[in-house]
Amino acid sequence: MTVIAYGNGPTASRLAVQSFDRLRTQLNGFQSQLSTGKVATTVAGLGIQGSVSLGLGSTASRLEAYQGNAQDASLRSQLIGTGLQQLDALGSKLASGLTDTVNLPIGRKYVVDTARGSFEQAVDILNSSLGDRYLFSGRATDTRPVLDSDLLLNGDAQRAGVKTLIDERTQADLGTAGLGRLTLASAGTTTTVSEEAYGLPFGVKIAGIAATGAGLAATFTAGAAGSAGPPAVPATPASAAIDVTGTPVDGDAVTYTFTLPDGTTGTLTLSAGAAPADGADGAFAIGATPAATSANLTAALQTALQTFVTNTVPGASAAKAADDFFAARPGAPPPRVDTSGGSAAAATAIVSGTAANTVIWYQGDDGPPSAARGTNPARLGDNQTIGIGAQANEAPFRALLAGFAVLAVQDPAPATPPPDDQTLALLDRARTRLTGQTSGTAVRDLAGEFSLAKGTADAAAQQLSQAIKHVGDSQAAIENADPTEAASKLIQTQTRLQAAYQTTSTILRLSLVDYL
Amino acid sequence: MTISSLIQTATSGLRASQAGLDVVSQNVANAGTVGYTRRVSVTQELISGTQPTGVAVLGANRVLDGILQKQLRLESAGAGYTGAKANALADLERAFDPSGGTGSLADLANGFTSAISSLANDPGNYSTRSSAVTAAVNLASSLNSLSDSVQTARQNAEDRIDAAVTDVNGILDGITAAGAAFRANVGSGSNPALLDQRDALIDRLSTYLDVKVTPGADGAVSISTTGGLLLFDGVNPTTLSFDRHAPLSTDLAYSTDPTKRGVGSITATDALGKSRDVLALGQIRSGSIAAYVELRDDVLPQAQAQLDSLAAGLAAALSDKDVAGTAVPAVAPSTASGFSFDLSQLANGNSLTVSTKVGATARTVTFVKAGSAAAAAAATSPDGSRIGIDFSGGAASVATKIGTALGTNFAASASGTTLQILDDGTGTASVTGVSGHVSVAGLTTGDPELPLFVDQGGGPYTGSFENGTQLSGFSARITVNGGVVADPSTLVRYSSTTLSGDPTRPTLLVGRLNGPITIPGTTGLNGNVPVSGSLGSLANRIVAAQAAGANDAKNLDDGQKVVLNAVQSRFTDQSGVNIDNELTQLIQLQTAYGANARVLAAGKELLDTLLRIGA
Repeated sequence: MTVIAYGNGPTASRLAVQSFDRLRTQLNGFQSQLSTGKVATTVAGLGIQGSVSLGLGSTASRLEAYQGNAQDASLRSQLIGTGLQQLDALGSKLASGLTDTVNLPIGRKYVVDTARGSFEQAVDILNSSLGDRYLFSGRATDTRPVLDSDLLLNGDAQRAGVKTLIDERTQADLGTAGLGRLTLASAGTTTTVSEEAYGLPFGVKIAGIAATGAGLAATFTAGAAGSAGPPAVPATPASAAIDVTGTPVDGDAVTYTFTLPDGTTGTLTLSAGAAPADGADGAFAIGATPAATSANLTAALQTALQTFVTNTVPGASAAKAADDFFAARPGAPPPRVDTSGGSAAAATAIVSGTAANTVIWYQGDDGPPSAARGTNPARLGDNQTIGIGAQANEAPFRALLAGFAVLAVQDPAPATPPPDDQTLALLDRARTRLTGQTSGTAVRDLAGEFSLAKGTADAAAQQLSQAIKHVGDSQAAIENADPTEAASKLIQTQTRLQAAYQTTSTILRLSLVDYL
Repeated sequence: MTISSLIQTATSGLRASQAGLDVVSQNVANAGTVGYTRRVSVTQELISGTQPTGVAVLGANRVLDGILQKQLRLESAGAGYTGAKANALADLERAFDPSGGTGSLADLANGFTSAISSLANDPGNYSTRSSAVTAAVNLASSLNSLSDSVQTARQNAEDRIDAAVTDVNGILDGITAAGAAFRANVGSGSNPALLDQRDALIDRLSTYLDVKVTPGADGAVSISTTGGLLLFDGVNPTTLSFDRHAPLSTDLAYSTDPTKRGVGSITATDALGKSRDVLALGQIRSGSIAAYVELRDDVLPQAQAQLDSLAAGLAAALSDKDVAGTAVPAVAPSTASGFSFDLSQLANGNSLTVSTKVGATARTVTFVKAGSAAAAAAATSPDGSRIGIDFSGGAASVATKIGTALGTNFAASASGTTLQILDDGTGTASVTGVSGHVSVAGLTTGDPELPLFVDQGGGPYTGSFENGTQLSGFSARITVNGGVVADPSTLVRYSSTTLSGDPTRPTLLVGRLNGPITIPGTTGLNGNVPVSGSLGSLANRIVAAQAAGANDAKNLDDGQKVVLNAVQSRFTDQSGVNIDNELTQLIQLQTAYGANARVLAAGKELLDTLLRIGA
C-alpha cells in the first residue's frame, strides 16, 4: 500500500530517501547477481525473456532425456554387437576346422568337444544381461531367454533334449529297413522305387528320375492323395520306375533325385558298366538280355540305395531335428516323432511335443523373431527411433545353435566309426548352419546391424550433447549474470549511493537555522 | 496623522508580526506532520473612513491547490489498486516459479515427461519405474500445492477486503466527526486545522477507494466513489459491511445471487437503513479494495482454471481412448444401416460422438454421459455441439434422447446396453461414424492407456458434470493412482501377460504427454483461443503467464508510482513546509517586529517631548 505523505518537509529530502531506497534495492540486486550468478531468481525477474528461458529449459530437459536414451542405446547395442561378434567367431572357427580334422579319430573328438564348448559359450552369450535386463529376450527383459546348455542337449528325466530328438528323427527317417522309408520292387524289366506311404512325414522323398541311353526308360509318378469316395481311391505314394527296354551301352545311366529330410537334395546315379558293377561302385552290369540287365540293375540299386541312405540321411535327419528343436518357442513346442505305435523307425506321424516331455530351449519374448528389433525401440529424437531389441530365437542364432548341436551330440569316440561319407554329410549340414547359409541372414550381418545402431546412437548422442550445449548457452545468456558487468554495476551504484548520501547530508545540513 | 494613530498603527503592526511569527512557528513545528498544509498569515490594511489606521490580521490560510488535491487522490486510489495487485501477483509468481525454476511446475512437468521417456527406453528397469512414479507424485503434489497457493491468495484477498472495509468504516466515522465539528462551530468552515484533519482522512480513504469529493457550504463535503456509491452525504456516513468467508475453496465463487455466493461481498447501508450489494453494482472501480476483489474473483480463479485444465488434460490424456462403434449393415428387407455402440463402456463425463450426413450437410454431435438431469444440463454447450444426456433412465431413454437430438432422419434404439443408430434407409441420410471417448479405469485391462492420475479417493478423472464439474478444483485433488504407487510395474504391464520389457504402454504415454493436450480458451492463456501442446509446453505457458501477469502488474505499479510521485512532488512544493522559507520569513517578521517597536518607541519619544514642552 502506498502511504501518501505530503507536506512533511522539503521535497528534496523525501525524494532523497526514495532514491536511496531505489539505489539500495539496485545494490542488493547486483549483489545477489554476483553471489547467485543469476540475473533474477524468478521467471518474472527475467522479463520478456522469461518465457523463452522456460521454453529452453523444457527443450533441454527433453534433449537430455533423448541423450540418456542414446547413451543407453549405444551401450546396449555395443554389448549386443560384441556378443554377436563372439558368436560369429565361434561359428566360423568351428566351420573352418571341420574338413581337415574329421577323418582322424582325434579329429572327431576335437570337433565334438569344440562344438559342445562353443554351444555352451553361445548359450552364455545369448543369456548375457546388462543390469537386470536380458539383452536377447525381446520384451521379456526379466526372463533368461535360453535354458542351460546341458539341458538343451541332453534333456532331463522328464524332458527330451535335442539329442533324443535327433535320435528319434534319424530312426524315423531311416526306417526299419534302413532304406530311408523307400521300397524297391521289380516286375518284368521294370524296377520301381516307391515311397513307403503317401504323405509320410519321414524318410527320403523321390523328386525325380532321369535316364540316358536308348535301353533305359525312366518314369516318375508323383504321389496322389486318395479319396474316401465313393468311389474310394487309395492314396498312391510317389514312385520312380526304370524299364530296361533294350540293352544299354556302357556309360548309359539312370539318375535318381531325392529330397532329404532337411530339404536338401541328393542324387544317386547308376551307370551301365563292366564288372563288378555291384552298385557299390555306382554301376550295374549289362546283362545279355533286358531281363538280365534289369535284374542286375535291381540288385545294384538295392546296394546303392542302401549306401546312399546310410551316408546322407543321418546328417540330414540330425539337421532337420535340430532345426525343429530350435524353431520352438514358448507358445510352440518342437514337433516330435509319434512313437505311440512302437518304435520310432516305424513311426508314421509327427506330434507336437509338450512342455512336459520336451525341452523348450527359448523362454523369452514369444513375439515373432523377425520383429525382434522392434521389441526395444530407443527414441533418439522427436522423430528418430532405432530398434535395438534382440531375441535369442532369431533365425541366425537358431541356425548357429543347430549347427553346434548336431555336432555336439555326436559320440566323440564310437566303437564302430561311421562311414566317412556319412560324417562328411553331417559336417556339411553343420557348416551351412554355422556360416548362416541356411538362415539367409548370418550372425555377422546382425553384428553389422548392431554396430550400425551403435554408430547411429553415438552420432545422435553427440549431436544431442551439442544441441544441449547450445540450448544451455542460450539459456545461460538469458539467465546468467555477467559477473564483470554485475561487479562494475555494483561499484557504480555504490559510488552513486555514496555520492548521494554525501550531497544529501551536505544539503540537509545546510540550514538557515545554523546561521541565525 | 496623529501621534496616537502612529502608536495605534505601530501596535497593529506588532500584532500582525506577532501573528505572522505565530504562523511561522506553527509551520516549523508541523514541518513533519502528515497532512499538514503550509499556512500563510493573511493581513489587510486597516482603513478608518478614508484614513489608513494600520494593519489587520485576517487569519491564517492554507496554501492548497484544490485541483491538484483531487488529482492526488485519484492517483493514490490508482496506486492503491496497482500496488495491491502487484504485490499479490508477485507472491503468486514466486509460488509458481520457486527459486529460479528448480521444483517449479514447468520443471516437474518436464521431469515427468523425461522419466516416462526413459521408461519407454528401458521398460523393465525397476529403478526407472520407481523414478517415473516419483516424478508423477512430485508433479501431482506440485499441482496440489499450487492450487493451494492460489486459494490461499484468494483467502488473503478476502481477508484484506475485510480489513479494508473495517478501516474504511473507521475513516468514515472520523470524517463524520469532523463534519460535526464544522457544524458545531459556525464560521469554522475555513479553519485550516479542521480542514487539514478532515482532508487527511479523505486522503487515507482514497487509497482504498476511488473517492470523489464534492465541497458544500461552510466546510461540508459529500464523498462518493466514482462508481456512484455515496459514502458520506455531509452529515451521515454510509456503513459498509463485509461477510468474510473462510476457508475459501475452488468451488466457492462470487455471484450476484446471495444464495449462490460462496465468498464475501461488500454491503453498503445508508443513513436510511437501505442496503445494497456494492460489488454487484460495480460501484468500486479503483483503490486497493477493487484490486483485491478483482484478484479474488477474476485473476486468481483464472490461474486456478489453468491449473485445473492442465491437471485434467494430463489425467485424461493418459487414461482416455477412442472406441469406434460397430458398423451395422442393412438387413433385408430394411435398407437402413448405421452403427452400434456399447454404452456400458461410458463413465459419467465420457462422450459419444455421432457423425451424420443428410444430403450434403454433415453434422457432428457429441453426447456426454451424465448421471442426472442437472448434470446433463451443465454438460450441454450453448452452441449445441455438445449435448448432455441423462443416463439415469436406462439405455432406452438414452436412445430416445439421442434420437430426438439427431432428428427425424435417424432412429436410435437400445437393446441391453447397446445403442444402435440407424439412418432412414433412403440413401439421403446416413450415419457416417460413431465413436466413444472412454476413460480406462483399470490398470491391467489390456488397454495400453493408464489412469495414472486420479481424483481424490482414487476415482478416475472422466470429466464428469455431477455436483459441479469434476474439472473445478481438480488440480487440488489430483493424485497418483494408488495401484501404480503400490506396484510400479503397472507402468509397463497393461495385461496379465505383458512382458516386463514391453515398451507399448510407456511409448503410448510418452506420445500422449508430447501431446497435443488442449487447454480450453476459457482459461485465458491465449485470449479466448484454446492452447494445445505437450505437457511441458503447457506447464511453461502457465508459469510464463503468471510471470507475465506479475511483470505487467509490477510495470503498471511502477508507472503509477511515478505518476503519484510527480503529483505528490508538485503538491508538496506548493503545500509543504520549507524550513528555509519559514526562517527567512521569521527574519523578516523579526525585523518587522523590531521596526514596529522602533516606530512605537519613536511615538513614545514624540509624546515625551510634547509632555516635556508642557512641563
